[in-house]
Amino acid sequence: MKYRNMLAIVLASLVAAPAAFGQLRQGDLGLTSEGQIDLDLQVLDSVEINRLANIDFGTYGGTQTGDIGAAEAYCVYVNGGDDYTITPTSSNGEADDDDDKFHLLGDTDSDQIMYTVKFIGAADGASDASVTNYGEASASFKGSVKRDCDNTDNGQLYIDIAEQEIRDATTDTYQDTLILLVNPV
Amino acid sequence: MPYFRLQARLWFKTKQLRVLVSAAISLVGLLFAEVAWAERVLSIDTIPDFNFGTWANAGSLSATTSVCAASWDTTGDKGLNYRTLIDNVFSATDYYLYLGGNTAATGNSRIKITFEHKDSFTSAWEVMSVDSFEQPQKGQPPNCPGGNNFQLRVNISSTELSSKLGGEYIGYFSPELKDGNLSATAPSFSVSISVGGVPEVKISHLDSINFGQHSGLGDISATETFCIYSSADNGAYRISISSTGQDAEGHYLVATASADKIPMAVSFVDNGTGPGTTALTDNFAYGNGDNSDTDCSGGDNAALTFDLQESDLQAASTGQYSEQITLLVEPE
Repeated sequence: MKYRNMLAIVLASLVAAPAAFGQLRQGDLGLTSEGQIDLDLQVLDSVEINRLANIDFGTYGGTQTGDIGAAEAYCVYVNGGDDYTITPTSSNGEADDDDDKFHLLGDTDSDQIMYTVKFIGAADGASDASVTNYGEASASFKGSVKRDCDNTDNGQLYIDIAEQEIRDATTDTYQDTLILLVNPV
Repeated sequence: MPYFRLQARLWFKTKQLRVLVSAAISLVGLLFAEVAWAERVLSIDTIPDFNFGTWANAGSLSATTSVCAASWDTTGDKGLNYRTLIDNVFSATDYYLYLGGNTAATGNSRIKITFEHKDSFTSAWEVMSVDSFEQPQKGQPPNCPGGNNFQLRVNISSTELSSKLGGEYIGYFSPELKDGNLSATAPSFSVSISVGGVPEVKISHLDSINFGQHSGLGDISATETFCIYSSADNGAYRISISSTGQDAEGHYLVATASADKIPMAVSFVDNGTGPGTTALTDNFAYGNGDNSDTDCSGGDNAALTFDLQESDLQAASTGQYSEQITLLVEPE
């Protein structure tokens, strides 16, 4: 068993060996001497989302009417500035009434307020984007080649809560932790 | 005693004395005759030095000289056989020229040569050996009135020369003649040559570099140490590098599946540990290599460092990157 594992490692190493190697050449003695070496590097996928901030919808009640929504812009770095998708999930899990949606959960009464999430690959305008379902990948967007996006944002999410969801909810404080998983494409 | 008897006795004694004197004279005559029979002449002229000048980095070399080797019976006025030997003054094993005259030099610091000898009145050259006399040759009268008879040829092969370090080589050799129990020598002569009139260089001990994988964080740096030999004064050389993905800005690792590039700083240092200190783009760097051993005695005496910045790596798309670096060393 031990030898079988060793063989597997050796074979794996051979498969992984860079194809460009093998051009090494030592110099000869002469009026000039020329040698050659090869350099090789493998760049792996790397992504990062930052510049995120929490969203506080404030209070809702009394004479307030209408849906409420909030946007949060952020920075997504992808090596090479390549494309990415975001798969959103949350600590509360999918909503009981609609497993495509997210929900805020009341602190005391476990009542739920469903909400939707939208993403856009720009610093604003996410409210016009299409909804991304719970646990599903968003559309592809282009990442920044800089981890800090040069201190700007290159993506935005938008959370939308329908008025009726709020009106159906017991008086309480509702919250959720939205988890954004960035995937290189 | 009667008078005649006294006279007879005196005559006898006189005769006896005459016989003794005659015998003594005959004996001395025989001795002189023996001396006259043994009067042989055995000598060899001084062999001039061989100076081949500077080897032109191509072709084998050969030079011939002739001197007088006298081996003569002056009594019988006839030539006698002689045998000859060329000694290496510094070695009993072979004929060598030594770099800088250092007789302790070995390997690529000494040049093996060959000597050939022939008598002018024979046709065949005979390769000489440092430890044995040649076949007998007929000697000439003193001063060789018919012309010099002892021909000596020195040979140095291009194969031997091409593998040697640059510099001045010299060796000293002495001729010896032998005729029976009689021997003669002449002052030693030298054979010299300058190799590598144009200094030579060699770069070796090179290894390729695998930077491994970069997963998003950190700079990458790698140093490759190697050996540079230069036969120029003080081992002086200059080094430059070029790469397939090079442009006016410098060197890059280039993606194997796209046109993506990762900038790469290259720096050089004239020591065997690194890291590099002198940036190399399209310029030269200068150093002093090993000027006595083309292999740097197995060690390294120069280094190149390749640096990849984190920000550049992060800006690179996922994939395999490679580059071929050509290092050119020239004597300085």
